[in-house]
Amino acid sequence: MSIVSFAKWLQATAPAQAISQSAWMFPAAETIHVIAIAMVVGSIAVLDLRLLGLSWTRRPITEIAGEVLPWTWSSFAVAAVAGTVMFISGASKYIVDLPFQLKFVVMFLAGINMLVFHRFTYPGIAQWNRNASPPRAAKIAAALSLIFWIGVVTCGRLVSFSIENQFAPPG
Amino acid sequence: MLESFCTWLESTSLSATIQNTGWIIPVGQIIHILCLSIVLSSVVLLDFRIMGLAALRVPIPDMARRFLPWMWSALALMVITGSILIIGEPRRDLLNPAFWTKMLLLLTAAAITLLFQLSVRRKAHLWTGSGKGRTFIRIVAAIALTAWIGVAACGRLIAYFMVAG
Repeated sequence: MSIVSFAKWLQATAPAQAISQSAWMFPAAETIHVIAIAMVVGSIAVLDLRLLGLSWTRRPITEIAGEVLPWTWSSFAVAAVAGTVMFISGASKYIVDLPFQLKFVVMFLAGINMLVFHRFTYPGIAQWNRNASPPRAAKIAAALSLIFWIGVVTCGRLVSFSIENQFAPPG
Repeated sequence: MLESFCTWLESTSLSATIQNTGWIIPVGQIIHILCLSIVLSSVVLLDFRIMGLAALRVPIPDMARRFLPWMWSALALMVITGSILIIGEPRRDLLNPAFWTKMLLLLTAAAITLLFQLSVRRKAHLWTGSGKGRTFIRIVAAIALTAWIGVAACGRLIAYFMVAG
């Protein structure tokens, strides 16, 4: 089964049909998706800016991480669920859409960046938790994180330009 | 009247430039939504702090100083990018109930946030202790937060309430 035929099967399932035939489900999912992704990017940016030594430098990094990361993860979960609702309603057109595919490549890179940071840089944090200017490895991870998440939002916004929105009225 | 204002706005050379330069509207929208992430995260963290639900180690005035300058700068950039989007496609927004609801909520949310900021600056002592009036303040913070989320929701829903033609 190819990925395209899987996508076609997916959008023919009952839940996907229900979403694409409903007047409000897609707009509702899209609204929730936008608010959730805004919270993902904004909250992770608070930590990234601290890691870059650009803001809230008087505070220990772990304290800030403890305050913002729960928002990042819970918002990400909400964005993923709402995104899945949108995706299944028209899976076969999204799966072949370039901005959509790029969005997942960039999200994958954001994930790798995060794993590398946690595996190699974060374990030594006790030594620089209170430093206004963290080590270079942490700054690079933070800069990449900002770039990747801005990329995710950019690709996400472009998806609706490349895909004809079936729910919006003409014009 | 709005109808004829849209017609006039569409006929300006600035509007024509925006319409005829394919990248301006997508780029404007991308900057608009990236700024939304700054605005929304700032007010969520701040209002949850005021409601006593987050970042309790940080005094409220410190939270305000950390987030509000970013919030206002991002909001200013949203006004600029939003204006470009309106000038490029006036009918999409100005003849749209979702847009006007958004503006009403925006005025409410921004006014509450501004009043709060002035109060924190002038009467910092009220915001550091466990003082009285906390319940009232928490309710106002909840109203402001709801209004900000409404601003974002109406912004997305503009695409679904366009008047055809």
